[in-house]
Amino acid sequence: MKDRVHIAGTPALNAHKARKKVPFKATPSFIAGLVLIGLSLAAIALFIIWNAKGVYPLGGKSWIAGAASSLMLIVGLILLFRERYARMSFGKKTGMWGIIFLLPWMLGFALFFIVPMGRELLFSFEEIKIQAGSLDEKFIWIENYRYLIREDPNFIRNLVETVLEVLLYTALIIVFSLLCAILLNGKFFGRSIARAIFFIPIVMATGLMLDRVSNTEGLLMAQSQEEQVYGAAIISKLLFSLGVGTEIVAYLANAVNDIFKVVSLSGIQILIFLAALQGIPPQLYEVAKIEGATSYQTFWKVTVVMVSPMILTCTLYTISDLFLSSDLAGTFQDVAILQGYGRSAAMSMLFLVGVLLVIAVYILPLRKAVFYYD
Amino acid sequence: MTNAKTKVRTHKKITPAMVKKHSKSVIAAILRYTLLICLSYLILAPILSNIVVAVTHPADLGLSSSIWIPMRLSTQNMHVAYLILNYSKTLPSTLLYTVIVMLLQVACTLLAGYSFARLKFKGQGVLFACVIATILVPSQIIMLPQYLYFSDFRLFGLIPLYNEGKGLNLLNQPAIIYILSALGMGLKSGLYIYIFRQTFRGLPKELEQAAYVDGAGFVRTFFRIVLPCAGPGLITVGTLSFVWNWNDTSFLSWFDPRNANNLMFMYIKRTANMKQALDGISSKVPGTYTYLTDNILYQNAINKTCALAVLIPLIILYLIVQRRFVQGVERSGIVG
Repeated sequence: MKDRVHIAGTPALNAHKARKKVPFKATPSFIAGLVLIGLSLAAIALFIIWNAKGVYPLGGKSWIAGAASSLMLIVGLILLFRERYARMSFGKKTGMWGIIFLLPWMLGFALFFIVPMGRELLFSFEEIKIQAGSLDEKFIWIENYRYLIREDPNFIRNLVETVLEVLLYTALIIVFSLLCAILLNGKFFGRSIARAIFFIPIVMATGLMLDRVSNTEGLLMAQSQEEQVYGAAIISKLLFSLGVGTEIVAYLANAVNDIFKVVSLSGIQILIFLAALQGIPPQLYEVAKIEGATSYQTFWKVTVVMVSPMILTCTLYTISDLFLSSDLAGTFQDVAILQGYGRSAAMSMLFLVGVLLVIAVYILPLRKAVFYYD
Repeated sequence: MTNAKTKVRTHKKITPAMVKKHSKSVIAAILRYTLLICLSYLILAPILSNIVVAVTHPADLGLSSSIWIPMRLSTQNMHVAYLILNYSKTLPSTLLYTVIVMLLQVACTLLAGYSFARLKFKGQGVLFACVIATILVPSQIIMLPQYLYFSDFRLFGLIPLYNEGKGLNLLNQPAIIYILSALGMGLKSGLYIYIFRQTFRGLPKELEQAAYVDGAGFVRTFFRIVLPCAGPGLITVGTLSFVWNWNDTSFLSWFDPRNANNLMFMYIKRTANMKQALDGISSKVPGTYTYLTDNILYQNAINKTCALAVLIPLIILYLIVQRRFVQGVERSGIVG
C-alpha cells in the first residue's frame, strides 16, 4: 500500500483498475501462451513415457529437445500472464520481481543447502557402503556418534581444542581489528599507504591459506612464523638474562607468534570497522566535547556504541571464518574415504554443534549490548 | 611585514594548557606511527623476504651476507618454480576458472541482494535469515551430500529424461563449482548477498521511483539506474570473490580432486613433497643451473618462490584495485 502512495499518477489508476472486475477475454497472446505451454507439456510427457519404457528415439540429441521444450514453457508462461501482469498493483509487481530476482538463490538454497543438510543428518545415523555406483545404507541409530564420543581417541579432543581456539581468537581478532581501525581512522601523514598495507592480508591470507601454510611450512606466512620464532628467541634470551621465569617467557613467545595469526586474519574486519567509524556522525563527537567528556569516555560512550552493530556482524563472520579454516573441517573428506560416509557425517554434525555453541556464547550477550542508531 | 610578525607572536603565546595539549598530541602521534610501522613490518616482511629469496642465487642461500640483499642475483629459482608449477599452463586456466566463478557469483548475489533490499514480498525476512544461516554453517559440513548429489546429477529427475535415463556424473570437472556459484552456494556467497543488500539499501529510493514514474519497468530500472550506482559494492564483492576463490581449494579438493590446472591446488600438491617435485622436473632444468635437490635450504627457497608465483597475480590485482577497493568498502558501506 505504501508504495502506491509514493508513485504519483499511477496509484489512482491502478486502484481503479483493481477494483473494477475485468471480464475475461481470450486475447491472441493468451491463446498463444496456452498453445506453447500445451506443446511443451506434451513434449515433456512424451519424454516421460519414453523414459518409462526405456526407449530413446532421439539418442544423444535429446537434450536439445529438452532445452527447446523448457524454453517454450517459459515463453508460454510469459505470454499467458502478460496481461494479468499489466493489471497488477505496483506492490504485487514488486513482490513478483522480488521472487524472480531471488529464484536462482532460492533454487540453490533448496537444492544445495536444505537437502544436503537433511541428508547429512540422515547419513550420520547410518552405515554407508558404496556398491557399484549405488549406496548401501543401513540404519544404525547413534552408533556413529557413540563411536566418536566414546571410542575415537582424537576427535572430541580436537573438537574441544578447535572450539576453545575459536573462542579465544574471535575475541582477539575483534579487539585487535577495532583498535587497528581506530588507528587508521582520522587524518595523518601516510594514511593511504598505511591502509593499503593493512588490507594486504585480505588478499594474501584467507584463513584457508594460513592454515595450509602452517601445515606445509611453505607459503609467505610460514616464512614469517620462522622469523617470529627467531624474534621470539631474541626476546626470550633477553628475558632469561633478566631473570624471568621460563613459563612466563614461553607464554610471551607464544603470544608473539599469535600476533601474526591475528593480524593475518583480521583484514576484512578492519575494513568493516573502518567503514563503520567513518559512518559515525561527527555531531556526536562535537556534543561529547561540548559536554566535557574525556576521550576515554567518548571512546566507550560514542565510538564503541556506534560501531556495536558491526561488532556483532564481525563476530559472526569471524567465527564462521575460523571454523571454516580450522584443521578439523579439512579432515571430513579423509574420514569419509577412510572410515565411511556415515562417520564423516556424524563428525560434521558434532562440528556444527560446536559452531552453534560458540555463536551462542558470543551472540547472546552481544545482542543485548548492540545499539541501533536508527 | 612587521605587522604580520607581531600577529604571529601574539598567536603563539605559550600557555601551560597549550603545552599539555600539544605534548599529548605529539605522544599520540608517536604512538600511532610506532604501532603502524611495527604492524606494517609484520605484514610486509614475509612478502619482501620471499621476493628476496626468489632472486637469490641458489649457492648463496643461507649465507649471512645475503639475507636481505642478495650477493648474486639470478633467475634460477624463479625458472625452477615456473617449471614445478607448470606455470604457463596453470596460470591462464586458473585465471579463467576464477573469473568465471567470480562473475557467476557476483551475478547471483547481486540479484539476490537487490531483491532483499528493495523488492519486498511476504516471507522475505525468513529467507534472509536463511542467508545468514548459510554464512554461519561452514560449507565443508554439507559437501559430502553435495558430492554424492553431483556424482549422479538429476535435477528433480529432469536430466534422466533427456540423457537416456541416466543422471550426469559431474565430478572431476569444475562445472560443479560453476553451478554452485551461479546458484548462490559458492564460497562465502552469503556474505556477498549481505554486502549487496547493504549497498542497495544505502542508495536513495527516489532514483528508482523516478524511473518507475517515467515508465521504466523493473528490469530496465535495475540495469539502467540501480546497477550504475552500485559500482563500489561491485568492486568490493568482485575483488573479494576473485581473491578468495583464487586461494580456496576446499571446493576443488571435494569436487575436482584430480585437477591439474589450478595454481593453488598444484602448489599444495607439489610442495607437499618438495624433493619429488624437484626430481620430477630435473630433466627440463638447464645443466648450467645449481640444482640442489637434497638441500633443505634450497627446497625451502623453491617452495617460497612457488608461493610467490601463486600470489603474484593477486598482488598485481591488489595494486590495481587497492584504492578503489578501500573507497568502495567505505562508500558502499558494508555498514548499513
